[in-house]
Amino acid sequence: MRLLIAEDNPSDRIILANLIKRLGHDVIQATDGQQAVDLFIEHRPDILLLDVLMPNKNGIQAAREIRHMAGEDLVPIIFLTSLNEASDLAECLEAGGDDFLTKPYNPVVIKAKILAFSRMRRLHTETQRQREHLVQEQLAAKGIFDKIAHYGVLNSPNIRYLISPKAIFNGDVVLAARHPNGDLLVLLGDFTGHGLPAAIGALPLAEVFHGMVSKGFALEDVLREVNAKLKSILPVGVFCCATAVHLGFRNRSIEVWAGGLPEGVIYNSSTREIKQIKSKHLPLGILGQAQFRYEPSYFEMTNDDVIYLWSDGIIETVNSDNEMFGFERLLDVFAKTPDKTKVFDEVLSHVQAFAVEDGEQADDHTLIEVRMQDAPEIALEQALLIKPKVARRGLADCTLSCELGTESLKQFDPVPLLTHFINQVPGLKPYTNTLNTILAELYSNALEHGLLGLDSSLKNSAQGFARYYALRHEKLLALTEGKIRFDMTHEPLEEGGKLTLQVTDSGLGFSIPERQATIDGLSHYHGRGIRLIKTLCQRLEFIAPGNSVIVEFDWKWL
Amino acid sequence: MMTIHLNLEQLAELKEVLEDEFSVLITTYLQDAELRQQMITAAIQAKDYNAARLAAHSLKGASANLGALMLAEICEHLEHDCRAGSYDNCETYNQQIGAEFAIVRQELKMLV
Amino acid sequence: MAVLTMSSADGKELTIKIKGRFDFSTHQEFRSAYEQAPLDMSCYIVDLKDATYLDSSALGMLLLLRDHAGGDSSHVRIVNCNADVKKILTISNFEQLFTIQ
Repeated sequence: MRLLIAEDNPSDRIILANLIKRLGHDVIQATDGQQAVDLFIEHRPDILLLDVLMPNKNGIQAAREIRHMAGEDLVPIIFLTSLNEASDLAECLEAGGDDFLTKPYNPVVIKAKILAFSRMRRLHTETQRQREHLVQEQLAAKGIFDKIAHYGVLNSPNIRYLISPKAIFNGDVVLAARHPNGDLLVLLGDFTGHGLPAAIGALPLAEVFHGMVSKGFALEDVLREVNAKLKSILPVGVFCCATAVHLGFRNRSIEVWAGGLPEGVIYNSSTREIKQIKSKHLPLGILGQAQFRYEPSYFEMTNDDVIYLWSDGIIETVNSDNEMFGFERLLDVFAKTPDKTKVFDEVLSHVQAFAVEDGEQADDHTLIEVRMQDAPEIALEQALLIKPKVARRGLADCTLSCELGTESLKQFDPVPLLTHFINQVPGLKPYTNTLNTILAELYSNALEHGLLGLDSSLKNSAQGFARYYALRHEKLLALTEGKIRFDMTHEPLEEGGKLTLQVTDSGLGFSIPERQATIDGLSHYHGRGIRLIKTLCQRLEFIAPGNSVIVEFDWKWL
Repeated sequence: MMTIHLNLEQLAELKEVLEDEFSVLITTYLQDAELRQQMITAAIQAKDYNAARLAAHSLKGASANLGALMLAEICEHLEHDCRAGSYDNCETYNQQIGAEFAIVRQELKMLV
Repeated sequence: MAVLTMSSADGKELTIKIKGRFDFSTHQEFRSAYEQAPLDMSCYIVDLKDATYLDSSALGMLLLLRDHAGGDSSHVRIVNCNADVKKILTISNFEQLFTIQ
């Protein structure tokens, strides 16, 4: 090792230098405090031995300067002194001294202390190296994490988000994906734990989420699957608090499942109304499949609605008085910001201004804002823009019939599966959105109106909306008999093909003339779906007694 | 009160460590000690007790390292008094230092 | 000592009392508290009267205790919660898994 000794007395210096050389180390000698500092800069010795009383800057001042320059590095400083006043010794330690050597110099003591400090230095270097290694690992994990957690449609024009730069360390995840029919599903998650264990949970979460949503699975199915997956891979005690939202542009509904995150908010910028999204479920990854609960909240969607979700960061930001930002202040920001496009920035700047000075919490927030989008037409247009080089091999002429009995209807959503099946006709791939919309609409029509007897006009009021879905849930659970049958036929034609789809339910139907009349003149939500289908298909016909609908969809190669 | 002027055991150890450098050490010490003594005398005359204290402190340390423990002890007294602000005995101590150093010098020269 | 353990007279009920911050640093002690007790406890009580703060790792520790105590068939009570602690437990809906008083 290389040691620096600073000692103004020449005979003392000779003794000490020689003792240390005898131990096998290199020695650099300084005769005053200033020289000690200069030589430290030049040679960066491993250990320093400084006399306290020296001319031209004493040992204590020199120690202070050297400590300051050393920064994070461990540079042991041993003071040489025959001072014996306690206050003097205390001052030495305060200045950054680690130990003392008293005169007369005892070779045994000197050897022992140097050995002890060199051990400490080795440990310190090892620790620093390990820490550096860990940081590298975490950065690598962050790279993967960013790719997984952030792809999807987070960059849609109606979404704004901020992910804490410490997301890899605090387990925050934001995901967004589209149903084939254009509906948007968003999930904000917060894994317990930090660093790699938290990030590892995010990978399967993102995969399942994106995989299932792109196939058109309902939010409930996605969450059940995610929960099961996380329960199986995460250790007990690690879980994911999350809020998930399904924005149904088709039927103007917002469906929300919240488990473990602090309240989110649906803010209406024109009425200034605020609806709270409260956590009613246990976080993901705790309950087994059978116990997992899905009891979402429903809200009706208007164009001026904006959803805000956040992980802990926002509400729990503290100021220098250890006071939390809190929910009330947040509501205040909403109230005081008239321009809805500025709310996101206002929330952030208020929180940042509120936070403690040291700035560590300043950008440790994960916040997402989702605005409503108008019409499913957007999604349908998107479909037509895709002109893939489709392989021309796949299904061509085919028929599929499928009947779901009561038990199936209670537990299973057939729409993704049927969409997937018909997608095997190569030329239909660009029309996936449209087909999914048609299938979903006809199915929900058959189930909700045909079998459950729900009246769509209930959805006209805000309260009615939630009530409608609550009723749907109740009636479905109570269903004792009922079937829905799908008959699909596809016939390839010269320039494309013709798909015929018939959906029949075992309900009572209705009188046709009444139905026909209302479709054309309708301005309520429930008719909207059927009206939409009518615009998408070449033919739509209700078959007596009204419990069966047949549609024809002609398509051309793109 | 120490009665031994030089700790010969300590010096033997030093000789073992320093080998050829031992005589350099002795010479260096003697020169430096002479200087420190002069500094003390001048300081006391000029009534600069802080300077006296510092010089005595340095001489104390160096002497202790060379095993001149009695000399070190007298320096300690002088240092202490200067620090405490009682200057009555300074002159006495300085003389004692001079006397003790003469003995030490003699004995050290014999070892080289 | 941040974690105190007490057994009931009949030795069937274990009370674990947390003092101060119930967070990651409490992990070792909390685990030892219930792991070192005999396995046939009929009931576990977590007393949070002197707990000043609860974070998500504390929630994780409660889940570990519940798992140790038999999972779905366990009897774990969380008692003496102050308003802040109760709020955290409510947001996480832990009353679905524990009896909270």
